[in-house]
Amino acid sequence: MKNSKLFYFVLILPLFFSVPAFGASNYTVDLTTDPVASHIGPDKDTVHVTLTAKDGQGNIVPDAYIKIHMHAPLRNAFISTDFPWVENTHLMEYEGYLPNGVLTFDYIFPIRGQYRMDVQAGADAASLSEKKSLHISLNENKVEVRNIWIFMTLLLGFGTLAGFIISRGAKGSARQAAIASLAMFLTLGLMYSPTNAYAQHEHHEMNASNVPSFEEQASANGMTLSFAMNPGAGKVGMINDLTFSVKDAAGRPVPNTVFEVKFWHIEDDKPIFSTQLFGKQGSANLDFQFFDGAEHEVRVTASNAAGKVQLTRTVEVEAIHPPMPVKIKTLFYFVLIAFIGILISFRLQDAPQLKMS
Amino acid sequence: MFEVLNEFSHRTIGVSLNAVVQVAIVLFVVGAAVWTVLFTNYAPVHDFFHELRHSLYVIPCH
Repeated sequence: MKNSKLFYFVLILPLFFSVPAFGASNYTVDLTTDPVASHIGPDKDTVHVTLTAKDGQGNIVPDAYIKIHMHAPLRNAFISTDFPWVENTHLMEYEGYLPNGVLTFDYIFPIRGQYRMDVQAGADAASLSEKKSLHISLNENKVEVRNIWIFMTLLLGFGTLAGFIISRGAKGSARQAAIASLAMFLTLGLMYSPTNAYAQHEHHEMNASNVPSFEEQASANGMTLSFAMNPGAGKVGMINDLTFSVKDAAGRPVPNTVFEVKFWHIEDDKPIFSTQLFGKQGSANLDFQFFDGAEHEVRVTASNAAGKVQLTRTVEVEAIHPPMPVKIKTLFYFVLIAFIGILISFRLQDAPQLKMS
Repeated sequence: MFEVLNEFSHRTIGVSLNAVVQVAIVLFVVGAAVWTVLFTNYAPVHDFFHELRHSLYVIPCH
């Protein structure tokens, strides 16, 4: 008897793994970017991202419910990106209804690497499809690749020059070494374009995660638009919870409201993110990481049958200096390149004083 | 004979140490220059070279 129960259990066991969870939809989500991933420059290009909810037959599903989560590229053990604190962190989370089955947003991707977008879709929050991960792989800007090769070549050349001077003997080497050092500094100075000379980048002393949440409100057309943010300031590497809602004069949520959301980088004077979120019940919620430590302006316009209402709120974003181990590691590489240059010079000249030591 | 050998040895060691010290000085200067330009937290220098860091592929900034 016991054995037959075990037999039936083993027989039906595969069903638990092959049948989708009860109520799960067969919706899929397509991801496209404009420009295509291979042409996107991180921390430079504004990318138009489109997520489309489709049913099992591949048709776009109006009024679909979508859930997305975007994750930053993983860390590289040897070399860092411009934003090491952003690596392997949450960038964005959103879930809500899409009246026409499509969610679009414009976004500046902060770093190179492979971004992971976890997506789910269904008729509502209770019937979401199985989570699928889509990927966007970005290469570094070609100019940056060219610049680092130039920089490393200069370091190698400086090391070779210094090695040449040293190997010629002690006489007069101090003066020549000084000239070489001066040439090095001048080269660095020339590499630095004067057009970049006034890049102001403030670093505020605060702890953003402890800044209390706030709620900003604006009223028009008999409606009140509220924007709440928790914590009350951003921080590189940290995600903030943003809620947008609209209520009428009686304090009731206004359904079917579209929130046009834009995050404006004040220092660079350009948007880093913009989208339209649909509040079926009069509110929308977005989790977002401000990846650049500078002030941003959150601009929101809510539209519905009653009219429009908009507000603007400036939010601080705490900048964090890079981790010390990353800085030391990168410095070590550069000093090593100069040292290799010195060794090459000694080798070329077959310096006798080194052999004797 | 003994004195000449001793004098030769002394001179050899002196030149070798000098070269090693010079290499160390050069590497220190390179390290100090690179650190100052690319990695210092001192705001005026850090802000001035902000764009340079963002244009060199491997330099962490934030």
